[in-house]
Amino acid sequence: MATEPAATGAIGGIAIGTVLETRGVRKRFGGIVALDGVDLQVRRGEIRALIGPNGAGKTTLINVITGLFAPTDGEVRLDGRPITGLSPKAIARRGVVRTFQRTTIFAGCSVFDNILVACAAARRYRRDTAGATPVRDAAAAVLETVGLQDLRGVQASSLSHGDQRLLDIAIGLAMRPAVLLLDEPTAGMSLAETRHMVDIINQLRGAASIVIVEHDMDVVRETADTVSVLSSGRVIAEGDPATIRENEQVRDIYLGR
Amino acid sequence: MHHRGAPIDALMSSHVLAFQALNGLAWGLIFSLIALGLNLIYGLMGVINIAHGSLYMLGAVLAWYVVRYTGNFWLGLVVAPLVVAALSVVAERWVLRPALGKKIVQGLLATTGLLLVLDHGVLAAFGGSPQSIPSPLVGSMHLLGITYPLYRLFVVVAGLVAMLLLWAFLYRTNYGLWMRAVPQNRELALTVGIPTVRVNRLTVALGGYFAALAGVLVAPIVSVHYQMGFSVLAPAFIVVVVGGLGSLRGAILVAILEGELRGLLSVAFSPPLAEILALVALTPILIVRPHGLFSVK
Amino acid sequence: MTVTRARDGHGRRWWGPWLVAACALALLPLVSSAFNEFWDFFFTEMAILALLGVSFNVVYGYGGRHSFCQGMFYGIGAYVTAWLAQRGDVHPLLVVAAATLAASGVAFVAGVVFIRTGTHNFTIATVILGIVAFLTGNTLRWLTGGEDGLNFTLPVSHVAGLAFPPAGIRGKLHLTVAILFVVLFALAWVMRSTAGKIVVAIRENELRAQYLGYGVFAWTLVIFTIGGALAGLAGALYALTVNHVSTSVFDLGLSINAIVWTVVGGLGTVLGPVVGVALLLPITDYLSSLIVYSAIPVGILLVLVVTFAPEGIVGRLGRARSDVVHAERHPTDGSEPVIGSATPGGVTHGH
Repeated sequence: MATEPAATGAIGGIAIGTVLETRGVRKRFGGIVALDGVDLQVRRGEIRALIGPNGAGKTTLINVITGLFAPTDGEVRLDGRPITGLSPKAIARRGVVRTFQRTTIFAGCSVFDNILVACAAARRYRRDTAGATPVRDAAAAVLETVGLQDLRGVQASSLSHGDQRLLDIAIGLAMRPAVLLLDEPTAGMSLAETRHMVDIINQLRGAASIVIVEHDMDVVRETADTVSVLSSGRVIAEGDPATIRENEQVRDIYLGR
Repeated sequence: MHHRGAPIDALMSSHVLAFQALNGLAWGLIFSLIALGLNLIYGLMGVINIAHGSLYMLGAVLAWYVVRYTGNFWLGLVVAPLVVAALSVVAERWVLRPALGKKIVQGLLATTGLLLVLDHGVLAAFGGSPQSIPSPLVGSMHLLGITYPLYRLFVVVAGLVAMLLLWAFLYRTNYGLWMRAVPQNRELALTVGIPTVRVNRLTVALGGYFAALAGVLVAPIVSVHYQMGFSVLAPAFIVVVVGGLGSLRGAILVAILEGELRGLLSVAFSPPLAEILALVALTPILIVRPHGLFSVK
Repeated sequence: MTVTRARDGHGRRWWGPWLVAACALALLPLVSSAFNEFWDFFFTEMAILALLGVSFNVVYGYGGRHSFCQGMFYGIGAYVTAWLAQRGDVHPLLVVAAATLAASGVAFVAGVVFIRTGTHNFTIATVILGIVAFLTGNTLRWLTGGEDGLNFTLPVSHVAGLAFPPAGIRGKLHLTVAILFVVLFALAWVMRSTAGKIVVAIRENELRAQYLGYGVFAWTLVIFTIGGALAGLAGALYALTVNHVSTSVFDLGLSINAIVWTVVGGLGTVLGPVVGVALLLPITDYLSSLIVYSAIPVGILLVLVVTFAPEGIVGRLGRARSDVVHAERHPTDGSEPVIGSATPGGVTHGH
């Protein structure tokens, strides 16, 4: 439950400050303006929800942040250092990990191998990964965290949709990200699966800074510290979930008035 | 040809050029017919039909049989492609359809199997020694300042007519519309209610028909033997790729380009070398436009 | 929906069967003394072509990239061996090493140029490379000897008491089988390691691998180079076995055969190419004298494989043997059970 922002009383000496920032990010595709000056500051350790109607530019923003394309204008900063226009590979190595709207897992590999590969990547490319734990053990630990340990030998393509999406997130977790960007993580999930996802996300609070693109307002209410509302390529409102819910402007754009 | 006086050389070479240019056009049209079939099958079914050269060969071989037993080449021209088209329908059901939706290598494997069966089936029935068909049109015509064999002229005309008919079919009939639409968006085509099975069947039949037609047209010019498919397979494949997989316009253009290149290069080089050079000359296009000239994707 | 257990490879003592096989192979010299030369040559050819199949399997079965030019690397390996042998002054081990290196060098360059063009166009590029190599080989007759080819013998030297290259065909049989075994074992070992899992993951989902930080281009290049090296090694072994090379080594049929054997045997399995070669080579090469037009049943077999066993023979056997479990997961919110999890009783949600 999102009751207290992580900025106060965080355990373990997590620094207060902005971990991810976009300044005036614009993105044009030919004649279409997908992003029209997005200013976003994600605080370290918080869970930020990014909501907005379809076509508002939420996924495009994630795409720009994670390097799929460079913005037409503006910059993206991680821990104050610019990462604008870097390749997805380079950005991932800096600890910015994303998931996709469509489930993007290693279908022909076992569940365990899916996580193993991600843990191996973390070991290779993330300088601040925890010491000498063998990669296999790290992978097993991730599976325990999300609850997929009983399926470790199953081929990923055989999993149910919900389990596949869970695996998808788990791959991201295994990277020990500094910033985790989840694009509609609960899409297509049953009620039980969604609850499970909410639990996992809440467990991560403090360990990583999380940005969730979501349509499910219950999930937003139960996880987010702050909500940013995107519409027509810019942030039109920002605040805690309760305040946003009352916001007239937000209601308008959702109801199409 | 090489050691006469200069003015005669100049005269000879312009004649030779014109001659080869027409040859190139003929070959280009032949390759177009083959490449179009390959393209259609790939565009609609996602199968790379390695046996396409064998269908071409089958057309030539059947024409030979018709000439052998009736002495009438024109009968062969009509009958052989139809028989091959019918055979292609059978192949669609038993060879190509199992490969649908699977990895691309499965289509390659299945059509390789078809190639083996066709080529060696012909070997068993027809024998291994090359045969020839006498030219059905003897004599030449004066054209563009040169004397050009009548039959080769016919090949050019026939090729153009065939392309025109294909164009009419693709752009003026329902089936043609579907055949153009499905490669653009297969899923949408299914939901819209296009009868994909029938369209696939027709596509393969059409591909087989035109490949065989090309084979029949070429039969009086080259030697007919059970492996003649290989000599067109590589160029046809390269043409399809350079033109852009799925692009019919690309296939035609590049085929004619390749034919002309080959024809003109063989003025200066030996025919096999000209063939290699013509193909090699096409590959830089891929570097500049990796998906081919007119890619649909 | 049936659930498939993936070939995990994390089991202990996976090397058990390999140890047994190694012991069996150690007995090979005993067994082969009963062969006449025909069988020596038969199995040597089989081992060499299996190695070519393995090279294709590495690039496509494991790496996920279709390559139609493995035959080209084979030919390069064979010809470099021939050219160096003709010099007469190069140590035979060095000759084979150089041939393998040359093939992998060409693969490296081709990879650097073509891998970036994307999976689809990479395949096309390998087709064109194969065709160009074939046509070029026949055109540069002065270099390659054309269809008549070149004859040569490698100087013999002794390594650890054994002659290299071995004198008779029997010795060459032992050599090639030993090399094949070592390659297969190394392949099995690597594919079970984390690096092997990464290769497979990149094949399965290049996008996600990229977004985990993997340099997909570099990994693909390494795989393709290794594939080229293996094909080149096979070519070198071929050359030193028959002491003759001709442009037939660039024959496109060879590249296609390598693909056919591997797919029939089982893509992405260690033994697939071996099984494929063992099954098809006798039919195509040797039984053709007994079964007239043997290519026809082979062609039918290919269509049957595509129709009924697209994952190949080894793949099919593997699937039959693995645990296939139908189970129901019982969600905690009372909705309909979902078939798809392996554990009866369901995944533990929410602890």
